Amino acid sequence: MLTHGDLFALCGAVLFGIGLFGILACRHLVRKVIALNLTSTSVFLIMIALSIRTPDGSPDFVPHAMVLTGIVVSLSATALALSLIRRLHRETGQWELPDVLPFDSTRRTPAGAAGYSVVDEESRVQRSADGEATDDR
Amino acid sequence: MTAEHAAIGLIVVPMASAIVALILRERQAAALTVAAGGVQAWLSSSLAPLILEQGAVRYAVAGWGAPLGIDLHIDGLSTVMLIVTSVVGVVVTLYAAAYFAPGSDPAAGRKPVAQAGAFWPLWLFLWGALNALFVSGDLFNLYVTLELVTLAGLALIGLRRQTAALAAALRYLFAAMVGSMLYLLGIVLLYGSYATVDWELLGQSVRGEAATICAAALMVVGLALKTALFPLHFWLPPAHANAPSPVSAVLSGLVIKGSFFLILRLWFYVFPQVVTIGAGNLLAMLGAAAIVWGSLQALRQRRLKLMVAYSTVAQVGYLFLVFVLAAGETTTLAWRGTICFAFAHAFAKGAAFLSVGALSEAVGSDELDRWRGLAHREPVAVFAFGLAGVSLMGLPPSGGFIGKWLLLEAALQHGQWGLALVILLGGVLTSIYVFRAVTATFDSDAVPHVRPVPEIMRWIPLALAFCATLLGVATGWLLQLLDVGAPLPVVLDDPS
Amino acid sequence: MSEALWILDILLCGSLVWLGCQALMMPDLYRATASFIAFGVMMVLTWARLQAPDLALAEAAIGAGITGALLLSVVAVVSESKPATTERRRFWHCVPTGMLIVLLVPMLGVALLSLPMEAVGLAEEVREHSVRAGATNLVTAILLNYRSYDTLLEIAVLLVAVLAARSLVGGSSRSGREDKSFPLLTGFVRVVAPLMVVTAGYVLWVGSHEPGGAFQSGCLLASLGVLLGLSGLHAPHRLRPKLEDLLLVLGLAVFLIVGVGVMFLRRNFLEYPPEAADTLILWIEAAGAASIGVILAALFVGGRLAGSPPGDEGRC
Repeated sequence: MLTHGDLFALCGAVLFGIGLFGILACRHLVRKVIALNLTSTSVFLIMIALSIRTPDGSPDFVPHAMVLTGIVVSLSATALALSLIRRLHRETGQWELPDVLPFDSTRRTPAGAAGYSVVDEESRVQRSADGEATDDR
Repeated sequence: MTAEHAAIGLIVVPMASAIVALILRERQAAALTVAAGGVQAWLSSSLAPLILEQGAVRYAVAGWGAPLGIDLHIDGLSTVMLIVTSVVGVVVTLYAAAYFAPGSDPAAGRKPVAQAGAFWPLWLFLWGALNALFVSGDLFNLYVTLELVTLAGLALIGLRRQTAALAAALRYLFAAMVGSMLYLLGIVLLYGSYATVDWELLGQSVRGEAATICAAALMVVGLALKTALFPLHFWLPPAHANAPSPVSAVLSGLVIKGSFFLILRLWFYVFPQVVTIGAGNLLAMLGAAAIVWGSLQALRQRRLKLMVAYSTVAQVGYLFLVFVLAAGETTTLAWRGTICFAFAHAFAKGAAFLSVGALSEAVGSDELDRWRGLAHREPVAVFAFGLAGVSLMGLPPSGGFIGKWLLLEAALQHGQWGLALVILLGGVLTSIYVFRAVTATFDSDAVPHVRPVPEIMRWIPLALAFCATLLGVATGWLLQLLDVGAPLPVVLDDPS
Repeated sequence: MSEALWILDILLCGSLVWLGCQALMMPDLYRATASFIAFGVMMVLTWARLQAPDLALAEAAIGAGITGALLLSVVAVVSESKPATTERRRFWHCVPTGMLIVLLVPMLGVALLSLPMEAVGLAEEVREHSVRAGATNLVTAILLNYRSYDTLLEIAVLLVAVLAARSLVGGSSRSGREDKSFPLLTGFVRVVAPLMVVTAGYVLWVGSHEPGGAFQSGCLLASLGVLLGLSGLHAPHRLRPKLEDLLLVLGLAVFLIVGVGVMFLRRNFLEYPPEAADTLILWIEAAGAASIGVILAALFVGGRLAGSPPGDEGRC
């Protein structure tokens, strides 16, 4: 016999699958971040769905506190991911991670060494104008 | 001072220092971090005799005690990890102070690193989170500490805003977050089954049910992803290679050990009844594959930092052999060997990355071709790299040798000839790439033009490398400490 | 009645799955983000349905609100940037991924269904000690007393996110927008701002016995900050950097001070004396709310609210 809690837990499992697929399959970085949020929300959903199984009907609050912590941690991760993505875009003009794993040390330009085949001329000029240290240490 | 207070100090001191460092200017923040590091080194070293005396210690944070509250659990393994974190941490801090400081002579061409000010509070948070990880007794609390470690690490990788580092950090972020989600799912299943997330209580109540087995699988896979076990290692080489050198040292030396430490806790303390021989074999096989693959890839690299990063992939493989070797009579042997190996690796890899950093600074690049003849200009740093290599190869009397020796003995006693062969093969492959790098620097035909490198940056890696090399001599106290709270001999259930 | 509940639940779950798929599959990022925010709103309803009002508040403020705002601010830059060079669409790597998911989700489902139908969890212990814990809202009691250590670390995580944003984005990415004026927005903010301040204070204070608390209150303050900045009423960069830094660290600092302070009373770390528990919780929450407000507002703007003063080299 399926209970309400079971329904939400299964919904959470399906959402987890969708989110995980999104992280692995989506190419655009912002979409990956959305998928990441979806995944973490689904785990929280499962956790709370399991917390309403108490015999007297009132929920077990420890999972609530854990999920609240989880929501904040997931927000921090999202914010950090978006900061990295913004900076990456400013440096390369790209919104996707390169297919080629960035091990090719024969590419001379910094963007090339990171595996990007398109070198964004504007951002390169802007970066050297910033005067940041560009040596590899 | 009690053991519990030392543990609390190890968490509170870096966190409080991080807050103050946020407000201070960079030079003062650097000095504060060095001071905080010294305090932590003192605390962790005074923890060791206390733990040896009292055995494993439990401490109820906020006074409630598990399962309602969060307990700290400090045993031999925790103490060993705290000690290695403190020592490597202090060394890296001193190196970083020189690394981020602008050169006194601007004409010599040493430009200041942008965003250096953000390094100190982020590093202190990372340090505090690692300490908190090694003493926590609560699985959900471990999740939060792990996230703090990961996020601080990510921020540090991207600190210098270089394209390759940013892309690598993003890859690492997604891999690490997927790992955390899997781990969290496991916690959900465990809490749903046993109404507690304290790993000692769980260890007492765990039964072999469907939900528990699923939880074990999810958590181990998630943490293996975070520890970069082959074939889930794809994120590690770019992340560790493109980070600033002090950050690389910390990532390869300490952060990787954090998630591995968690797998050890889960496997031996929470799920001993649940884990099967098959699972152990799978992990060990992947570990063996990591050793071979990582070493072969390291051979192919022309960039030294990538070479050292791939070496980390290989050395992580050695760590995973424990899951099949620590069974029956060989439990103690394999346990000691693995932790010893992890301990030595933290020093050796730290020294490797720091010396590569110093040499890259001198020449302006970490490509092997540009390093020809460098030994004539920077003998100290090259020697440090070589010495670190000695421990990585597993030559006596280094700590790496002791670790490998114990593992080899466990493998032979267990009848695992294949694993023994892989262990030896790993050593051979490591020696090839280390020798190749070192001999290139002795080429006297092409002596490169070098820039001045701060003195600290040359000598610190040497100090760390010496620690790794001489560790073999001083392992007595280490092994004694490891026996405190060591897991009982695990008898793996044969599914057949 | 129970059929109606079942219909509600199925509709909720269905809409969650639908919106989740939409968020990932819509080619236009704006619409995808809007779907994600709608997903967040559906989650608020779901939390309410699952008897988790604190979570509903937090999800509305943090999950749908701040996360949605952060995503939108990045998506705005995506729309402004040149369209990406057409990459060859690779579908082959979706197949093994899809296979992995198709194996994983049913396994997870089976594991979930195998759990016992009734489980008390820790509900009884939590209720038993709640008077000593100093808060009748059990979620607050857990967050700020039983598992206060987790909350302490969580605030540290927020701080790390802000520091990362500072070092990567470097603050004040909103500075170009002050010349535009949106009279409707300005009028709305003028009316709503004092209400938000009062509500934030209320939510903070009421958190000890009703749903609410530091996180929700902090979010309200952060949203206020973001609105003020967006409407141009008060430029956020008028905040002095030293004050901003102090506010950022205030929450964690108070937590640590209380935690270590009680150790001098021969108690464990973070073990509040029962008679002072509610006061300590209120102080920690107040400091936390202030910090969280500044942290989240700073995250929206790119790490630093205040403009950096000239000649301030080398500061974080």
